[in-house]
Amino acid sequence: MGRFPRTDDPNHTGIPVELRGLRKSFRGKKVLDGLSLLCEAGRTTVILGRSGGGKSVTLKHIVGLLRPDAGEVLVGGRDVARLPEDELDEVRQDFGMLFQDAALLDSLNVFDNVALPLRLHTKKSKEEIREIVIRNLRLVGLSEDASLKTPSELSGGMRKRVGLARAIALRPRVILYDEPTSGLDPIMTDVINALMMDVQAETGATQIAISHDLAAAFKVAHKIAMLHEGKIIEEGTPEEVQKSQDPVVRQFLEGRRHGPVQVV
Amino acid sequence: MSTSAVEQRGSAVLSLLDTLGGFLLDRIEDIGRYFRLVGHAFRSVLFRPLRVKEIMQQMEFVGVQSTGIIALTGIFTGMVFALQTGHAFRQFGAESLVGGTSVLALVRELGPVLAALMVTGRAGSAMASELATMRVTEQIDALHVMAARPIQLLILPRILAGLVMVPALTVVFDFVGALGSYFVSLSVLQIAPGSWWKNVIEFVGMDDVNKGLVKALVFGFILSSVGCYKGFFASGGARGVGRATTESVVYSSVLILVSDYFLTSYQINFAALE
Repeated sequence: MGRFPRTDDPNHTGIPVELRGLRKSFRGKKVLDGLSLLCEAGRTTVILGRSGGGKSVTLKHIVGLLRPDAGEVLVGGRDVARLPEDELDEVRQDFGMLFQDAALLDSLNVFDNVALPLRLHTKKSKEEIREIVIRNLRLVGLSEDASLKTPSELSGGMRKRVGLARAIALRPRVILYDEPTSGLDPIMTDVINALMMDVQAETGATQIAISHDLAAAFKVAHKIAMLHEGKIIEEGTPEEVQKSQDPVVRQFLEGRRHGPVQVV
Repeated sequence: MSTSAVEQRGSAVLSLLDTLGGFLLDRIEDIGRYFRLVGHAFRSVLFRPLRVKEIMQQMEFVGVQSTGIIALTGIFTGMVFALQTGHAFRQFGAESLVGGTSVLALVRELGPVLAALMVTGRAGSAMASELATMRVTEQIDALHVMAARPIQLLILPRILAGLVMVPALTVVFDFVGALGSYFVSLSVLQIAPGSWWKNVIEFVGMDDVNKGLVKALVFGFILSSVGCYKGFFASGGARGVGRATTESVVYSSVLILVSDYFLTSYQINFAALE
């Protein structure tokens, strides 16, 4: 048995997420302009793009935090963009999400943060919950002592690991990562990358990450999609994207100031 | 006038209308969002489990923890009101009216309004800043993603606490204020205790207390719902948190004072009809 044991249900594995023609504007400013992307079940897809280019907005559409002006968000075949809030909550129980700054509830300690989804959505006993929380914290490399700390006492890297322990508490079928390695030192970046790969390999969850960290993206991704001006301009395996001849993709991959994208 | 000058003036008018229209639309959207949030919060009473622990925590925060400051402001309000009315009534030799006047003013007006304003400053602002911080640090988004029903978890307990605790604190304010008035009447104005009591009993009925408590209920709803609304929909980092907090206090205070006039007017006319 792996470090991240599957649930008893053999069908409980990743489900596909498909975005079709997503459009979204904020106060007249177009952020998503007909974005389409298939994130295959049980694979890791990394969406690359510049800061402020609509990556976070895309992620928020997948989990129903934002509703598109037009287009569909199909999660396991259900269009979450059209679901009423009550049904959306049902679909959300299949999701886990690691937020950029972990978004731990600062009124609760580490233990209660990780236990929260279990208390909300399962009928497990106190002992069972305790066992799962401690196991999950160990999986992300945190000791039992850390469970009594409050989020404000943790470093950025520790917060992310607690956020990941919380995100996987319910064995989600889709895990979303918002800039999982931003603000971390190179060693912690590698720790998070390794955790992402382990979680994926052993739970079979569909993983979708947004990032501008190229090294991390090429390490963890089965598929890379390049988001630019509200559309996916390139997608494929890391090897295919690496060979892309699209001038914007090339400028991004090579980290050049000059090119089709002009900042100043 | 040349054609270009007409065009220029036309476009200036259009841009003014555009700005004005945008402003009005924003306000209408604000009001719509506010009522939707409050509606969601009340509807969430129907969902199980009801967050009893969070409701109790908020009652404790809004009510119990405000008792000291309410007692302090209440006693001084009663004292100063007795002093002022005593000084004015002495000119007509009517000091015996101090008890009835000050207690009536406390239960019908000063108690609910001042208690609500104090709770706005203490708890309404805290609701706004706490929720706004949770919003800008994505904690509210995280609750949505965990299907934790953040409106039921965060908004409902705060509004219930406002509805229950502001009337309760008003009773404290009224009682302590009356004590202040009694103390100043006896010690400074040299009014006989029997005369003070007789006058209070003559002037103030249970009906007056009830009218004050109806006001307190409305004010409690205003300060908690506005604090929650401003916090829940905050945006823009630390500055956004600051703005949400300030706006919640300003909007709540203004709404409390404006609604006080209309409630008083309604209560007086209603009494006249009876």
